[in-house]
Amino acid sequence: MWNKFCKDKTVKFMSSLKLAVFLLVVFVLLSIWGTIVESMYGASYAKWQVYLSPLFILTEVLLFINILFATLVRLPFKKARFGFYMIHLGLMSILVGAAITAFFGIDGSITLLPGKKTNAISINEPVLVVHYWPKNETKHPQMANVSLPKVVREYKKPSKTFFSFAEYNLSLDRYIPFAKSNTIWQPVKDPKQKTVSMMMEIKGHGFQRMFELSNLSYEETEKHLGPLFFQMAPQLNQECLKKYITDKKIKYLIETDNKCIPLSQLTTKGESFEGLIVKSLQQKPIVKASIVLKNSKEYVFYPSKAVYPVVGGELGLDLQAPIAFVELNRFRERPSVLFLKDDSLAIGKHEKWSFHDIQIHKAQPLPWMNINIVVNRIIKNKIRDTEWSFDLPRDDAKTHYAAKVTVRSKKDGKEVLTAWVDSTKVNTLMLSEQSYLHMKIAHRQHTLPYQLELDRFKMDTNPGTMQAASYESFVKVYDAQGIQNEHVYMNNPLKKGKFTFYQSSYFSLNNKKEYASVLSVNYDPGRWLKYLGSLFLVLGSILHYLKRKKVSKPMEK
Amino acid sequence: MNPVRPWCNTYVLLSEKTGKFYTGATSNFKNRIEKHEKGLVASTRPRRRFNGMKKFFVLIVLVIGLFSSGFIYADMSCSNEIGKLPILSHGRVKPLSVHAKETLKFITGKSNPGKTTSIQTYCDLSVAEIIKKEKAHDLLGIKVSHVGAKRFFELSDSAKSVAPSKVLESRASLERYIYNLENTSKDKALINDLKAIIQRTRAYYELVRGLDWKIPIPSKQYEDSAKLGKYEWTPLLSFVLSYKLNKKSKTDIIQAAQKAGNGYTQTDDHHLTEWKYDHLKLFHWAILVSLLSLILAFVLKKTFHPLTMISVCLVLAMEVAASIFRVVISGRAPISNMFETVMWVGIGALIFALILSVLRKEKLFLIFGLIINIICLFMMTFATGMLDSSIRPLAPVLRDNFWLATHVTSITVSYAALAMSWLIANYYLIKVVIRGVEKEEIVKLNKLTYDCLKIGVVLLAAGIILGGIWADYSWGRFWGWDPKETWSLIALLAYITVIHGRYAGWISQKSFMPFVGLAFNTILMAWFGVNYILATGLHSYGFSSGGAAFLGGVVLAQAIIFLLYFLSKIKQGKDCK
Repeated sequence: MWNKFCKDKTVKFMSSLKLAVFLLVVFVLLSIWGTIVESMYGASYAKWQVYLSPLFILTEVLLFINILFATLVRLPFKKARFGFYMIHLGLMSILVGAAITAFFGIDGSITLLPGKKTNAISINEPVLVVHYWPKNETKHPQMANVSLPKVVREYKKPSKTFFSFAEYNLSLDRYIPFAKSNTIWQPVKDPKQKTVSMMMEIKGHGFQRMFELSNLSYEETEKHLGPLFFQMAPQLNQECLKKYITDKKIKYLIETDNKCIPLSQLTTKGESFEGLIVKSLQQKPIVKASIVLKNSKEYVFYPSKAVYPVVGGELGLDLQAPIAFVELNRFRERPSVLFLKDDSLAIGKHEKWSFHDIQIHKAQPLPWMNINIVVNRIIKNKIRDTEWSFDLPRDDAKTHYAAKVTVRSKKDGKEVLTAWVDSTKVNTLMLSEQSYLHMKIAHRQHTLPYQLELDRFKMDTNPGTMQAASYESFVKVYDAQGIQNEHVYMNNPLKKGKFTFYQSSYFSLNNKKEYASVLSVNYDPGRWLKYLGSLFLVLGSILHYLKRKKVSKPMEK
Repeated sequence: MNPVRPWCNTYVLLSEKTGKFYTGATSNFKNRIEKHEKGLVASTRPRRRFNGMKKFFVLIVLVIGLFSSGFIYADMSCSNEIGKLPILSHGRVKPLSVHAKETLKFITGKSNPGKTTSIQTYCDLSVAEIIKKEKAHDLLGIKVSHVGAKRFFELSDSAKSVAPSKVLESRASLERYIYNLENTSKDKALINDLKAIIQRTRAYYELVRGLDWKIPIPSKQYEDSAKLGKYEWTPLLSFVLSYKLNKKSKTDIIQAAQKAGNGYTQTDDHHLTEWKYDHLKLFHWAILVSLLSLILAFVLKKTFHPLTMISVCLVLAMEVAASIFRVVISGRAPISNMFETVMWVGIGALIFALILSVLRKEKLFLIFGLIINIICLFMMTFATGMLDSSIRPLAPVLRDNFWLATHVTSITVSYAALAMSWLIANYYLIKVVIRGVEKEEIVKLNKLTYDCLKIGVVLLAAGIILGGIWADYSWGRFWGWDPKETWSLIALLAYITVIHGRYAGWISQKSFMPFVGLAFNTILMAWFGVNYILATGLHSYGFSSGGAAFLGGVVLAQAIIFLLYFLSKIKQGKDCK
């Protein structure tokens, strides 16, 4: 029976030395490839591309089978083969131990902030975190952690639902680990929204700086670079500015219907100019004013911030408004550049001003330190959007993940919206008024049955240097039994339940005097098998070589 | 031009012939004296045959006393004796002699770039701006190694250094260039070299401004601080200013510094051990004695001639003494950087060879052990760009003497054993090329190689496992596909493949040797290649540069031996037909 098994062709092949050597060579070549990939693209990409790839895992499984069969065909037990059995048994138990660790182990980290209890371990595995905030519900969102695949994946539309909430279904269209963001410009949906974005650079002696101005958001309409000041004012007429900029009595300008209205002061009572009522709402900390038009529509401005009126909770700019309002003094105080109507440009300081038409790629001198401004590109009636694509990582620290998700209505399966979610920020999507989704790709969280708190963090440096010689965390552990004080430092981990905590790193908090400590957390159910296997392997090989001579001499053809 | 002292030295000469003095000034002392001697200086030609050097010094002291001129002969105060003074550098109190070498090596790439000893050069440079009160530019050249960096400074490709003033001038554009490279290029070596050039230049200016040399001053915070051993390390410049020393007199400054340093030494003289270690130059002596032993082993026919054995034991004693010195100095196991692993492979190979040659009564082992030891010693002494001999504090993760000692010792001794097998294999290959090998000798060499291989492989496996256990114990993972780990596993598997091939009979006794020679390349990769070529990953605490060329050289040499071997095989085949 046993002989029959041993002489079976498949068994013979599976236990053969030829297969062993072949698998070893494949394993070695893949590992070499892995180390090269790691040196070029970082550790996490190498793991993803090589060490966790199906081919590599298959090689390991086949090696295990090969060793198993090689041991089986050498049964029944012979005393002379004792070393051989031990070596191969050791190898198998190491491989099994590693598999158990990979499947059932937990490897993560916990960040401890001084005086804050926490029980959340972050595991280095990206998940899509979704929080749904329904209408009139501000305390408890509906939450989900959606597992993501290990590779770049496109899903057929409409793909399966990953998360279901209220009257919506959420599904994944595309997933990209190692992603890079690309800016794309899409036409505005409403043609009345006159958007303008300009890419430009300033150049001086041994100095160059690229930047962007646009009327897409409040922050982007102006830019300070040293004493230089740039302002986006595409509603303002060149002639109007030319007329009043040198007149110091005129503090404000209003422009509507190609009419230019100069203003020497703002009052809280409100004054009428050519049918408009202008009123100051607040002077400090910044000037806020209201203008009521003939049709009695009111616009609210921050004239020292932007020429556009504000809209929607004072966050956005009203690009459709037929009126512009600007404070002139802030351009007079310092060298300023204004981007005006019909792609014209005003450059000046105090009383000296010049006006030009914008010519793409042409250098225009500025009145400060021989610096020139060059406009490289003007984009009109388009809004910025971000799209993600696959990118080979350059180092581990800059790895981003991105996924494209679609929200559909449960009733008719119609698309409500499609959006990119990434690991750099929380993406907020409005579903309807006051009901919205918060989404982000983040590390998977695991909750501990007890809480940890950083009591004190101690760092010693080598004398006379800033190099750390040691760092230590004094940790309080809160569990059912009460509070325990523990001390974790390099080469002295803390064991608690099934988890072990190791001092891993630290970072300084905002005030620079306090530190947060990072412990790596580990649960390894395969550990004992790996240790036992290692012991077998080493003892086995020593025995094997001591006995070897008497058993068999190296074969010679 | 002497790069150390571009300013003038006043000198006084006494003519033996006439008994009269002659006073002159020169920027290059040696040259000028030679000219006087040869009669090339018109004013002194008739009074030639000046007195020897020693009398000069006496006269120059007189000159200082009489005129107290700003021009002083440099070597008067900066003697080798100040090498014993303590200095806090890189987190440890060292003797100034060692710090001087390390600083000069960091800036220029050579530990002794001047014409005098490194400590004198260091001392002269430290006081350069203090006594001259003007900017001391370009007294040393800044080391440049990457071709890209040379192009940036518009140097020829063969240039080895750039003037510090040139780096200072182009600082802004250099930083912009680095910033651009970091965003666009994958050439880490160029970025690192450019960053290093900035650091070296900074170190140069710190040195010449008197900021690098730090003087121990008893701390004012503690009463009786001198007894407690609490000191504040003050830069030479602030030392001179706060103690209102005569800024013109170098002798005053150095004497005051010496006094302060001696005060420290009275409370703690640990750094003198390192001074002794540095002074003894044990590795230089070990090279000499190793070469002598090798010659003796060849010349004396008897297998274990007492003379050979004494000489080998002497080498071993010196190297062990050197490593004990390093243990005492650093307070930890002496196996934490490339230099020390090479040292251990040398020592390991010699011990290993000694034991095996006695057990097997085989002199070849001893010869091969000596050769590996000599190769290691040569690398340690001459490949200073690759192996850094300085003793640095360890990264916190490594501060565990038990694991450090067991894991690294096991790995390095396995490297030593495998290096032995590699050398025997190459000996065989070369012998085949030169005159062919008898079957009897093939069997004997096979046995020798296999002996080394077995021990090497078991120790390598044990070392890898110990490393895994250490990693598991101190940061919670047994294996993480770190390149150093992966490459040592690759090396182990390469040897296991060879062993299995031999066992299966696919690798005959004749082809066993080439395979052993080939497999050792994976060890070289795990040992040096990961640090010098892949240069990334968790083991980054051991990284340095300049080794890629060395590794390439060894692999090339191996390839040539293989080529010659195969050519001679083909020729043999034809001859048989």
